[in-house]
Amino acid sequence: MLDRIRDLQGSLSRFRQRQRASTTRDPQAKEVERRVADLRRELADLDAEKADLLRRRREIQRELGPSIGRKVMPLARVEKTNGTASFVAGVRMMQRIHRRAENPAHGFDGAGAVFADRGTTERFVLSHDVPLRTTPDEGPTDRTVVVHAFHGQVGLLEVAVGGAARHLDGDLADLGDVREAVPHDGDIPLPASLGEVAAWSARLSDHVSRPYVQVVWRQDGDHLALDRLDVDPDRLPVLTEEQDERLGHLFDTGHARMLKQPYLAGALENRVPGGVFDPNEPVDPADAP
Amino acid sequence: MSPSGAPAPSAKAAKRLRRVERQLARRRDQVERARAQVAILEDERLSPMRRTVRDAEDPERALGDPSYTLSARLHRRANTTRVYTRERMREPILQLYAKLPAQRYAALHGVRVPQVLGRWPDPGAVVWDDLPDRFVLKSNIGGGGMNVFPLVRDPGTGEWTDVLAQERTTPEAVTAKLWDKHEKRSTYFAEEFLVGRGGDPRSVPDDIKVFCFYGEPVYMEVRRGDQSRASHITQQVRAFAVDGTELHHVRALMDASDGDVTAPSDFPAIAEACRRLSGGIRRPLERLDFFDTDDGLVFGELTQNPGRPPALVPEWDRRMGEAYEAAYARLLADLAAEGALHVDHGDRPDAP
Repeated sequence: MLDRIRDLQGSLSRFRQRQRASTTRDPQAKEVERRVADLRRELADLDAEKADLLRRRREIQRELGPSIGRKVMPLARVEKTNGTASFVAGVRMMQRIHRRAENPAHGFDGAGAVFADRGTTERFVLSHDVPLRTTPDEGPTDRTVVVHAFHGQVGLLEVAVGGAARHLDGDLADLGDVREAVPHDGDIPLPASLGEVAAWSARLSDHVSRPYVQVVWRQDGDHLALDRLDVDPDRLPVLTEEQDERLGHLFDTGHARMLKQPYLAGALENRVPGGVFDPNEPVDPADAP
Repeated sequence: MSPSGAPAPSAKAAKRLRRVERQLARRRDQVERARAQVAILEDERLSPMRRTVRDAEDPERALGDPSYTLSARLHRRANTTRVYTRERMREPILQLYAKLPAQRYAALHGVRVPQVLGRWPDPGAVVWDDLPDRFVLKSNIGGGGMNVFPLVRDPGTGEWTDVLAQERTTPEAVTAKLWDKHEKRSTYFAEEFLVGRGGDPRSVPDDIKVFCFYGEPVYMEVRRGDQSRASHITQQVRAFAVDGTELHHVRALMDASDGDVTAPSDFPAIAEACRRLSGGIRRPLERLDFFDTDDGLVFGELTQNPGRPPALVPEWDRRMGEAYEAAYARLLADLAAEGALHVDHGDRPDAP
């Protein structure tokens, strides 16, 4: 109804403009009236667009309102948030950053180079007292176990056989069908050594200078063998929103732990000309007690 | 004019034209603002995961685009949800959270800071009669204008005016407000009353807030009026790129400015000060605040996580996100070059 009234008002206004333009004899005034008519048409279009935009704005504010326990999210409140932790957003951000390195696959810390080489990978793994293979653990020949680890914490394990997978959390509890891209099969038997594999993967990830790493194990004869550590995975599980946020919190912790290495080395200290800023120095030596 | 004295038809038409042009300019601005607001809100509807994968054909291979909002919120969560505390870390930038150490940090970098007139363990110890007729009394900790009292004494009556709240006050009222907020957790200090460039000596200078990324300033806001202690004051804001280009509706969810704020006088000087100060802070982002005065640029304070990390229109969210990721890349490169970031090999002696 309102739209109809607005249309009628617009038509009336345009009619009046045309009338003015046609009745006046002053050619200059005629030109001005024509210009006025053009501008009024533009104004009417903008009015319509503004009404649509405000309607859409209100819709989204209503959609966001419940997240803060209100019917409508006030515009000024949108910025007052910590946001939501996210696995995909966090991991992809860190990948984009490391890919700015001279050798994008290696990253700034060289982790990609370490794990691109079988020999250096094995030396790293063994140096942390982690074996390269489990004790005998029979299973399908195409079985793989992917451990998604966040600097000492396991967030997700995927036991995959024949194109399907079973998803478990770090406590080996079944998560069900949480990854749209990989068919879920809750009947896939779990490797007997899964707990050990998870613990070893967590230990290794704790010594990798990234918030997140995939530790991949594959069936090799009658046991599981370490296949690779991947700090720059091409594929990243897109999980349900709930699981993405759960792993997002682990990413946040992994990110903090990544920074702990330079933090403990004093490399994050604030710099001033000639050295490191000492917060304990008196503010002004002249009036120090 | 017509012989009767009434405006000639062409004059009336020209007047009508000007009126419609003004209407149109206003409407264009309103629509541009509404477009920007909807664009920001459309992104806010999406979870960070959906914001990353968007409509990629294969979401699991989507690398996503940089986003300032998502990055700033990661750092804010780390501080406010005690992630660093649980990991027994205290970010060194927090050494600069208090105003006096931050001013000393700035001074060591050769950036001008306000002159400190006195320091006291509690605001009750301030000897008001020994202070000039115009000074600013502050708590060493706390953000915003809550703990900042720019004060002017009328030499005739001896009465004080709180310039921020634009109201009369007394030493007792100011003392009580400062003490109620932080009590013994803070120290209190008086500093010189800065005057904005070409401004009224009884008004505070505009606040210049610059968003910096490990040595690279990118975006700044100039704000006049502080609502922290006076809700009747309308804050006015103008936004600029670091090169001085004025930006409109970039942070469109904030109240619009009425355009009365003066643009900074020396953008290169701001950029230079930011490069020095931000370059010494080993963190990919922070905000630096300055005052533009007749004596040049003066450092105000530093904020590791603004209480309201800006939500920006998509173009600027990405642009600032790029700046953030480039900054983080430079930081990681520096840390790795210093041997402070690397894969950590264990010490099992029999490893090959």
